[in-house]
Amino acid sequence: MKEITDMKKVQAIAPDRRKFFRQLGMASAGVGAMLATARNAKADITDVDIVQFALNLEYLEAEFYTVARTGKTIDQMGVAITGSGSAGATTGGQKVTFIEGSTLALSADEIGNDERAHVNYLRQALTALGIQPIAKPAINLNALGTGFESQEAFINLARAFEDVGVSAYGGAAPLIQDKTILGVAARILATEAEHTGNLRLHAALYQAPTIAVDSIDIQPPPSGKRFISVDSNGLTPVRTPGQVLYIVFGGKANASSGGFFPNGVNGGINSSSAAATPSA
Amino acid sequence: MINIHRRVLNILTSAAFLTAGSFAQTNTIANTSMASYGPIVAPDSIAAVWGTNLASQTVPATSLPLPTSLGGVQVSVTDSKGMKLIASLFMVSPGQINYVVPATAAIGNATVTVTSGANTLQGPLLISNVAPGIFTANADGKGVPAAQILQITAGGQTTIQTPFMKGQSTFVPSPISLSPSTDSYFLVLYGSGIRRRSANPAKATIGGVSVPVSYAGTQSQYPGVDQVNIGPLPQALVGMGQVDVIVYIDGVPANTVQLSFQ
Repeated sequence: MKEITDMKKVQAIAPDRRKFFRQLGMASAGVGAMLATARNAKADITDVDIVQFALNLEYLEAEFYTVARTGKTIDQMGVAITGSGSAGATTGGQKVTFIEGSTLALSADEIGNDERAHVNYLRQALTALGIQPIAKPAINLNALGTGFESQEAFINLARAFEDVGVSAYGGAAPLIQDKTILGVAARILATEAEHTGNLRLHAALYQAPTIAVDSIDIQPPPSGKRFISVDSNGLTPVRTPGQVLYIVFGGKANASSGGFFPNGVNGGINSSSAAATPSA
Repeated sequence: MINIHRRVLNILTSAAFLTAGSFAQTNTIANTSMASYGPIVAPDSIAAVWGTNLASQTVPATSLPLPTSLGGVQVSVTDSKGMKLIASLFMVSPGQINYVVPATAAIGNATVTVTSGANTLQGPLLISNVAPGIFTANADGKGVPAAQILQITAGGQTTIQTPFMKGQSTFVPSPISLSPSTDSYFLVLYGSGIRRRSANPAKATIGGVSVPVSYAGTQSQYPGVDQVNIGPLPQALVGMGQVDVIVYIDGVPANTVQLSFQ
């Protein structure tokens, strides 16, 4: 199993945690000393598994924005994509026609930079720990058959990615044992939340219809009613890693590939569960 | 209300100085905004089809409401929901057709069909909620706008200046006077793709100076034509020479145009 391989590697390498925490922007080497071996008793998921899982999603988001704005893939922009697991090409998608200089186009550029930075950041953090980051798996950007044909199609897919991203970090947070990792995850979650707030407002301004990714999705206007994707308690939805994979695998439960990841994802968290439901 | 500058009407009912080859290859058609010449248009805005052999001759519309057939040529828009909508026409010519994107066209990818006798040509059209464009005097989306400067005295008398003049081969900015400084001056721009904006305020800068936008919306005389009133223009513009004018509608910039200030 991939996760066990990673764990053995961690134990064998005796990681330089001080360097890792420097990568994470933390001064103290004592915080989160059990990072690599911390294991969630319920789910048998390690913090490394969660970081690698997040890296799969960041690869997807980074590829989406980079192709949409430049027509290039992230490796063509200098982002490293090699690593453990099965590497694959990115297919589908194309440069989107934007009105240049618009807040949407400028926001898409910023968000794309952020997502590429997230890929670099997570890869560097893992490497600093002595763990090989996962390779970018094969990605099919055309999984939904939309996202690139107009500004509005771009908003639709971008909004879905960002809201799912927010829920993914929120869902993974309780599984993270190390507080340093948790702190970084919180900051990335906040970044993704700013992204989705931006895109949801653009959806409303552009009157861009959006699709619901599952039954807990809160769509922005005009398809939905809320500018902000929170429930009656003012909280964003959360999805477990399995529920996130359900979405990115194209609405497949108990699957290990499909949708945006035709050959599956890399790392120890790689199977979808049933879709998230309001009562879950 | 002041009457629309006649140059705008000339632009709408004439073939531009631009050629179809700027936008479309042989046996294809391309669509742009008639104001900005950008690739994205809005519902109820004025667009141009570019191609070859679109019509046998140039025929302008001569009355309102606009016709849906001119010189035997029709234009239809099949929107992203599959609805086929007939467009009103300002002008048809062999290389260019100026038409109004149907107000009910859905946002997203559409297909434009030009039917001229037995010939049918199709090409893609991108429709967004707003796609602001400003008509320019040279009908190329650049340079000096086909605009007016409205001067109002303290006593309420109004005078209209034209901010462009004939150069050697094209229209060029005519230096605008903001004197006497006790009068108020407003820039009246004509454009398209603006009217469906949100209730958020429109923004504008002249020479990098933020200027108030007192109106941005429909111009009532002609279909698809919008108007943006900017002002009162600040005296800080005096002596700036040629400057860029940029209008933002819901965060989307219109084509940059130029004015000159004495």
